Amino acid sequence: MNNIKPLIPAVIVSIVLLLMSQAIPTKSFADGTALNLIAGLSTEEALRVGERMYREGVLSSGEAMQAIVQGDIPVDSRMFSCMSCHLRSGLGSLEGQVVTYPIDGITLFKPITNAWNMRWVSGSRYSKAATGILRSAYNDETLAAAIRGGVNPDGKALNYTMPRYPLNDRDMEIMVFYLRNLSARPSPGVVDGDMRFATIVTEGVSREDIDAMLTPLKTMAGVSKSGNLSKMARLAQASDPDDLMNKGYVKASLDVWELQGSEDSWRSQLESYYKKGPVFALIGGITKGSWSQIHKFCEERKLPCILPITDLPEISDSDWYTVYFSKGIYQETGAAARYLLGSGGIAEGVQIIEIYRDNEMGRAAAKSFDEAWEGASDQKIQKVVLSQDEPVTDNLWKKLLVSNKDTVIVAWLGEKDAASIKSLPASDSKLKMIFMSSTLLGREMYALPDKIRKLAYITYPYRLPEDIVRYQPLPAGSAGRNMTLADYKVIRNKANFNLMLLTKSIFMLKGYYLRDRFLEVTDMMKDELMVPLYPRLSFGPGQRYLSKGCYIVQLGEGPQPKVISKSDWVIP
Amino acid sequence: MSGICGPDRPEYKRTVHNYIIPDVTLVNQDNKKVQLRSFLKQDKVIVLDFIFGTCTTICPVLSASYVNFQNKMGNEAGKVQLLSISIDPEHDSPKVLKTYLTRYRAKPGWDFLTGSKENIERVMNAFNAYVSDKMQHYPLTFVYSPVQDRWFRIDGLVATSELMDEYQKALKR
Repeated sequence: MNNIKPLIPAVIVSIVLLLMSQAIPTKSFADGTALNLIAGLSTEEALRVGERMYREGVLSSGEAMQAIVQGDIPVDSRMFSCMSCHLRSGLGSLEGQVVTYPIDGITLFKPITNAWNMRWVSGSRYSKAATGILRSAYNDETLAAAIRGGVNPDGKALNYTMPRYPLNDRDMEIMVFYLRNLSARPSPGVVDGDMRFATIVTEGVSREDIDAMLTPLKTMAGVSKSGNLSKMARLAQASDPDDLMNKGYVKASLDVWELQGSEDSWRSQLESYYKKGPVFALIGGITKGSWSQIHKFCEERKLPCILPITDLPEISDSDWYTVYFSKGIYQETGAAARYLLGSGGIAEGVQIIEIYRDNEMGRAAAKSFDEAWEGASDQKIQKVVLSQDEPVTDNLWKKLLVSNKDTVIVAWLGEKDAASIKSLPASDSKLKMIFMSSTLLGREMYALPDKIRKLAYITYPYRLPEDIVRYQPLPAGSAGRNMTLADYKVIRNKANFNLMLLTKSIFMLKGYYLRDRFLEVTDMMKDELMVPLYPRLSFGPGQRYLSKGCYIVQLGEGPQPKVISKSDWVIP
Repeated sequence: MSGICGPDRPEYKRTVHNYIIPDVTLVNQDNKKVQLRSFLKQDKVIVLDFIFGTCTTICPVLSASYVNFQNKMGNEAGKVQLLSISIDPEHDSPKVLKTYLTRYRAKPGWDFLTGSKENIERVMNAFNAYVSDKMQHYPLTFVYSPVQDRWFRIDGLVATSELMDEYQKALKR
């Protein structure tokens, strides 16, 4: 399955081939001398310092950049920086009625036409009718004047929302150099009209699950042709042939990177695949374990990774390159804690016992529950940590329930422990509630005996069955029975959504084949409320977990039990 | 910044309203519950806006305006209540709100609220500020005059001097 043949012979979109031949500009002086020093710094160091100014608002001196916005509001860049509005790529944003224009190394230094502006702001197909220049090209001097005084090359005042930065000459030289280089070249993975993607499968995932993910991705070309591609074709025909946007088409291909062995060995395998054929982004991917190693690889390689299928994503407030469907098991157990706390908490004197296995999943489940709990309650939790192969015996349950206290059990145990959960002495009147995870229990969730179901509160991170049938056809033969998670076709549904998102994102790139922009346009998507699997997937700048909540449910009786919601959509 | 120009000095639109505040409970940056209706029944001027923590353009300017307003008010800052309400409640947890206020070095008297999606939408609707998608929002500031028992609605981004003017107007009968 390694490096399967490119799946898509000819797919989608326009490409800015012109950008590919750009080299890092060298600072030129009036006498024609070319030096590699920028404000006394090597070009590499100047780019690093410039990036810090642009992204973090920290001057070369280490002080915060100061500015005036809206005419009289002093701000320092610890509040917001150039990147806040113009984004990492410099290609700007469209938020409500406010358009933040591109300040990348290409756009700044060429004239902006009215036709370009119409297409940029509204994607207007009628922009060909527009004539004239909206703004002349900047040079180093006029750009410095714009940054300091808010005046464009034609002498007109910039919008007051653009801060005015009184940079000194040294910092200005660095900033201008940085902007000249910002997004001036397309990202790796776009070569000779081929936009190259890869997906990842890891050892231990069943063939059935791999196929469930790959099959939708293989239909990429068909979906594009019947959907957005035709729209893109119309747009391309209507556009200015000299413009960088909406020009021509590019092929896309999908490689499959298969990772073998333990997670520790993945890094070298990833490097090897990448060296053989750098890709623009990773699309999807599936593993039974943690995504952490792949996540770290993507951060270091600045490689987007869109919606891998994993219950153990890397949790970070600041990492940029991997977008997940949700926080996986962390989200479920955090929601369980929030539900318990929100429903008035546990009465004084009730003992809470949390039981989990000392493995990746067990530790992650407990960590998230504990963090949510300990931040909001002083009640202590008694922990029972089982080694990987330690059996959960009837004696253990009896031992835990020996006290005279009312007891709540939080059991982050998986399918293999389902049998032991079934033997819980549910008739013990001291046992009040058992919290579990539908992800961990898998299909065994529906096999819990009725005596346990009455006490069981289960985290459920998808749409409820009565809701999901509105968005997805019922499987054959299922009429008249309740839906189980197996009916949801979770993996296939996730891959389908990923494909739709990819098509939209490529379209929204408008020909700027930049990895950072790829993530920025994803961030700018409208929230999705009509996805079969989730009540909503919400986007936002830098937001990397799209589904943000979880239900707490109980099960009805019988072999195909009704799933009964006991909560609203709980946000941990 | 690419040199696309705005008007010489953008003007904002000001209208006067009697909004009916919904009876909802929200949560502030300290994870404390806030009954919105009673919270807004203060005997001081209230300035209210709708923002979200990861907003790229509009909210940073609105928030810079808030903090500058607090600074300009100096010792008088306690005479006005600044309030921001998240329009992205699924992401904006109390922890996110707290971090946001710290980043802007907000002083006491600027609170940031979040809540359930349903409750937030009720509040946005009450102020005729509902947008179906947060990325489609637009700059709005509301100033409550306890003297007149009315809200001034400001459409557009304002300078601090203009917000100070609105504050002074809210003190007058």
